[in-house]
Amino acid sequence: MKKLFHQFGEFYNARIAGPSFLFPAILFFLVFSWIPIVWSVIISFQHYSVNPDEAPSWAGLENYSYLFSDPSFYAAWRNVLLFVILALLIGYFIPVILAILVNEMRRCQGLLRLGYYLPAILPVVVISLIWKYLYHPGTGGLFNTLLHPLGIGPVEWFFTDTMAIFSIVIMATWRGAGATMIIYLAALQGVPSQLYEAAEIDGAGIWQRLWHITLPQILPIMSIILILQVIGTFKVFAEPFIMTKGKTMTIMSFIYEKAFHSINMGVATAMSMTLFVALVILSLVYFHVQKRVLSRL
Amino acid sequence: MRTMAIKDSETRTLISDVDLKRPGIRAVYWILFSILILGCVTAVLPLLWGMMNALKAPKDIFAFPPKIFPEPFANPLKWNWSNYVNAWNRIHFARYFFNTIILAVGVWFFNLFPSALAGYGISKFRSRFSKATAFLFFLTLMVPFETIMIPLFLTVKKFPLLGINLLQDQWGGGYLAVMLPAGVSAFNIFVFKGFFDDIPNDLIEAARIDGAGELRIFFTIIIPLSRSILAVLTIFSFMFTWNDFFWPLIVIQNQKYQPIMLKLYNFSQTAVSESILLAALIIASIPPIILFFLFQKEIMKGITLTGLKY
Repeated sequence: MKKLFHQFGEFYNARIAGPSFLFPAILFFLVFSWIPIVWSVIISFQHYSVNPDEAPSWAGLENYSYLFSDPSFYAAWRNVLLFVILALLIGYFIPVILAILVNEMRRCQGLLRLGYYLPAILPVVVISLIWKYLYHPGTGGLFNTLLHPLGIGPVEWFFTDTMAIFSIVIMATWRGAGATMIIYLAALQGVPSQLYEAAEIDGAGIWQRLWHITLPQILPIMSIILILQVIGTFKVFAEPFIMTKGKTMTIMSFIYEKAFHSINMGVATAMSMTLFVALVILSLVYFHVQKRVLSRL
Repeated sequence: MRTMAIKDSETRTLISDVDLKRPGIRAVYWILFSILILGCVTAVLPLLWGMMNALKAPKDIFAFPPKIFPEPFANPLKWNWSNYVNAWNRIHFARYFFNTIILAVGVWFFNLFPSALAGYGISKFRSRFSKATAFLFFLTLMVPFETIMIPLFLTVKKFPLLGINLLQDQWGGGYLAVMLPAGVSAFNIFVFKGFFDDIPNDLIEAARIDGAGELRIFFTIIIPLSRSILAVLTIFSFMFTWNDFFWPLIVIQNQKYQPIMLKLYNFSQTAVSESILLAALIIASIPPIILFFLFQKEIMKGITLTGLKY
């Protein structure tokens, strides 16, 4: 018996040890990733009954035609695209600027990092509920109080979808900028000092060094952050769900509503397929652009 | 392991110390420094606002002109500290903290263990099989969890082969439905792979010559060597579970079993005074804040290492 065990041990070490390390992960990926990916394509062409015991039936393209005739499909996409555009306009460059500035500071750098990063560790539910109060529509809400001396307001921050999205993007920028700044700071510290010294000897000023050394050096990271930010924004859910009770429809809240309130799995999945296609296109654009950007450097 | 260059007096940045001696640049430096400190205050302000207002009477929170401090200003002993006690009791924080910790431990296990094994397998046992599998792992990075949420939901509702409903109380009340999908993390696999790539093969070879089996090498040599990366990923995993909202909202339906963030959301939907809700929000933020201050070094390293925020 002991010998058998020993023999198995030798056989294991020699033959199956390598693949066996992969097996647990393969099992998890099969059940929770690879099969669901294929399955979601199938579901989007099926009718799922509210009754869970009834087998799904084929729907052909009905889910998609229903989706494209549903005005809230367009509202959801419009809102998310507005989210993406506003988040880029308001939030994309702030972390870059913050990082470049903080990196130059000779004092309190640690404190600045900690302070700016702090909002990122606070739970999204906590932040959204606190900011909902800061955006209180009366004059007593913090933002309206601050705007009052300028003669603005009181503003109803969530009155229209566009207003709500603007308000949420401000909050998201405040929350995410510090964490993104940390990533840029790491990139900045990887910039070789010889580059700056050589440029100085050639008589380059601060702006020239910034433009010709600092920015090109962090450009690859900037392009990664750009795509991550866009992908992250496409999936926005918790903030509008909590702050406007889902009134501001996004792709995810559309899926949530269709799948778990109208119990229409087919249409919900058809919607996630449109998100999936968008994300794949984005990834391809990203790889293409990155190759171009990197080859020019 | 790839460590970032630590900034010391040898390395320099965009602006040199010689530049800084010029009075114009010096002035700009100090102006920017003040702006950055001010920005830092802004970053912390909403949290402080929440803490302060949890101590006010509800009618004072949105008063105009604003009352910055709770009343009576001069006597902090008379502020509404009872709001925090009330919030603690009304939410049954002890129970929901406990729920969240149980959930976090499960998610942590499934999030790290299979990924560490797979990362090691890909890094140290190169074969056509491991390369093909690595590619299939990699592809899933393009498919975020959100896009396959519905088949995932159907999977946990009628688990393959077993046919059980993981959302029912007798099968874990949705806890397994949160924990098991955490086993899918192509991201962790590649972080581990990158880490193991830097462990010299000679070390493993030497252990083999001494007669150690492959599993033994992994558990007694590789794992202890990986403490730093395990620490980083552990903290990220805990932070993630503590803050997670969307998936638990869908799969944990029994109010008693909900994690703290879900409970807070439900609590905010009931008729509750603003001060009590704010107090509850502050209490629920204390654990991540403590973790952050205890492990800031690991967290900062983790962000730069993984490009993730937590």
